[in-house]
Amino acid sequence: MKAKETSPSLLCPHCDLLVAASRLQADESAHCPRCRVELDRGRRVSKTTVRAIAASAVPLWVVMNAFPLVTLTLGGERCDSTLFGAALAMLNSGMPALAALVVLTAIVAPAAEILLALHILANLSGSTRVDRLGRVVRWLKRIRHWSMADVFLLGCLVSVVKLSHLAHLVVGPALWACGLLLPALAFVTVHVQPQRLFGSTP
Amino acid sequence: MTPASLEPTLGRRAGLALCRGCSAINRLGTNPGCARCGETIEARIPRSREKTCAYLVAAVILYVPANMLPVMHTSSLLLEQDDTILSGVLFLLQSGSWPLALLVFVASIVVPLLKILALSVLVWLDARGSTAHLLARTQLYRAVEFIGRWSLLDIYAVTLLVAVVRMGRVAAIAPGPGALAFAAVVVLTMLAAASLDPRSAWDSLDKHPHE
Repeated sequence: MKAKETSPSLLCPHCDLLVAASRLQADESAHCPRCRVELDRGRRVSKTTVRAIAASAVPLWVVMNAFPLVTLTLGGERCDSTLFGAALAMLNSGMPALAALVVLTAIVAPAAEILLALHILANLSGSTRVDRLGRVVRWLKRIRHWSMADVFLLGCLVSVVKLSHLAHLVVGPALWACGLLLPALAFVTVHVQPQRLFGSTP
Repeated sequence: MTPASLEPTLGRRAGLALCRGCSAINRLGTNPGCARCGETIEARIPRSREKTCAYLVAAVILYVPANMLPVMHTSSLLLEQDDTILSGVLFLLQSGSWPLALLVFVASIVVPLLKILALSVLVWLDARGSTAHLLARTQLYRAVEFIGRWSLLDIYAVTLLVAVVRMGRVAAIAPGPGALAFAAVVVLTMLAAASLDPRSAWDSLDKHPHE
């Protein structure tokens, strides 16, 4: 950890090629010469911007969870459901595994993604050593794989179209919030990456 | 692919490995864990092909009930109806929203099938030590990794339908056993893709340097 004898280099995650790192301009990106995966991007956004966008994801997540996704009117009866209510409906229909899947991928994982990213961003400037954030970084990377707000939104749109033929339907605030949450999450995913924040030397 | 005179420097040969947790480059054999985040450091995913195969076999078995059994049951004053994934697509097609029908058809039927086939071919070529089409194989792996999660779309669609359409005898929708099998197929193929190590394909080149 003391002597950093090697010149800065990148290791391709997809073909294990050792590639010399070069300083990139803002509009440049480095690709693996062998398997062409993107290794690094030159564009750096200020931490304040990333922090602001990550923070904006918090109220959007709250609205996505606190308000109904859709409201349905059929024969004088009104039905609506929140995101958690939808998972609960699956549980009550005898599908606990699917209820758990929905809670984990659409509620817990996006929340954890936002909070862990905010935690990392908040501790970057301070005197906190990188390795104290290591565990958090590791969890963030694991969780991202299972965070599926985007797929959830598209699934909801499919059922909205299905229902709109049968009943009067109003898209609720939660679905709009989900739509706004997606670009914020995508931005945070691109800019809060361990390699880009801390480099490749441990 | 690479000029024969220029031997590519591989991380493993240089005694270096990328951390799966935080992308730090670690020296192999010094610490069992990553110097930065503590994740176990391995040059390759251990028993990658075995794990991928196991997940794939499970996915293939569940693929049958996922498509044969109903994913949802609709009951209303007018009709009682069981819908499989395919009949859901047909419903969308008949109700005039063909772009959506195409989307669900691709996400729920084409993608899971192609994913299983693609991963099987990739594992098979890896196991044979084939050095053919390495770039295309890596790109296929990336496509499978990227697209896999989108197949859960139908599960979310069913979840919302079940949650909103609950008007007692007037209209109610319940999930069917097919939904469980289908979700399992998607999750299993995602795990299969995550346990496949794309670097092992390129290792074959290392073993046959003259090809």
